[in-house]
Amino acid sequence: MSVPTTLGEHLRRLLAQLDAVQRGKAVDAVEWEYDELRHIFALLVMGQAVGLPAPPADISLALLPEMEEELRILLRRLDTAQAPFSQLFSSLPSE
Amino acid sequence: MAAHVIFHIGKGGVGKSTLSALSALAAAERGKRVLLLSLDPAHNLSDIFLEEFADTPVPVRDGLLVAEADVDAWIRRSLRETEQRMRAAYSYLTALNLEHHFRVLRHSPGLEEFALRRVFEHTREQWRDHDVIVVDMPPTALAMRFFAAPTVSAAWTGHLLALRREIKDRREMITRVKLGKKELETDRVLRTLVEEQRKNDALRSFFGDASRCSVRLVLNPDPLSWREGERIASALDECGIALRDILVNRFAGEDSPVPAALSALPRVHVPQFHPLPVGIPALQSCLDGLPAELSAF
Repeated sequence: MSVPTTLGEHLRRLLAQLDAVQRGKAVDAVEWEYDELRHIFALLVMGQAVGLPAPPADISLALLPEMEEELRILLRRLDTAQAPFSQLFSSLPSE
Repeated sequence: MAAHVIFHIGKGGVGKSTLSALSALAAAERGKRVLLLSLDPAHNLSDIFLEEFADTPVPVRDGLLVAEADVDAWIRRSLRETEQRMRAAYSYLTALNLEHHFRVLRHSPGLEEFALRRVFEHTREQWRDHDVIVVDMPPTALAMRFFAAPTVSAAWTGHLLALRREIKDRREMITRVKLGKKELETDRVLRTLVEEQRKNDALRSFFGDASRCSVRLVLNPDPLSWREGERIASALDECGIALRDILVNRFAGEDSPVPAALSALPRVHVPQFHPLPVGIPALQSCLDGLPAELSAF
């Protein structure tokens, strides 16, 4: 990463960082919703493991090889299962 | 043109295997190329032909091949294939302990009809150049789950597809805002679901197409058989499948009252054989006494 030399360059970098932060903030809630939807999807496909009604075996077996990321989300949820509210509030805007 | 498929369905013990064998033999006698396939996990064709059968069809006479599906082997094969695909697709950490999970999956409900479906689709594809595939079905409960499977799967894939499209929309929104461009990567889960939906639709349309597939109800002339036959017809109707006809087996001249729901269907009366035909010569000797409609396909 090069060192900014002029004031204009400093300003441009600052604005770019501000833009990235604002864009990140703007989609925080959508990202949380995105993760939740994938979690629901994983539960629906692999629900049998936790006692939920499961889709027919052909669907689960066809989808399982493509669902590594969803499986990770499920396992992560197991780790945070004791603190669901703190996880929910941490995803909400602070003000 | 692909082989016409004829399913024999009915209550346990009514003579599905015997009538499947006789109708297949009669059709072969008339010069058709016939494959007789048992999808009943408790096979009877070996006992009827006095010959051991397995997954791979073997000829028992000119124009007639016979096979008994090894359902357990197909379940094991399906699980092994999924496990291999998971190992290839998943990174090292998540792939740990897969064997343990798959040992549990082996006992999941629904695997039996899934395996039956795979055997059936494999056989239909592999022997498509034959004129007829005669299928001896398991007793009612499993047979109905087999016929309902694509309808049930279609309901699930429809729901999962809607959810997955929502997920895709969110991901595109996030990528667009964060990176200022639309997500280009394809969603493999979505693609798999679309493919599953296509396969379910194809099988449902096949089951419902009388020009490619017929379902024959086998029963004995007693009230219990007719009552179960009525329930089978109603359950098939819910899946969009119509019965072709009713084979009244062991008919001795007197029938129970026919339920109204089944009265419009053609009935083929097959006499009781004494003793039960076992072995090709005995089966062959019964053909003369059979109604022509039994093998009119």
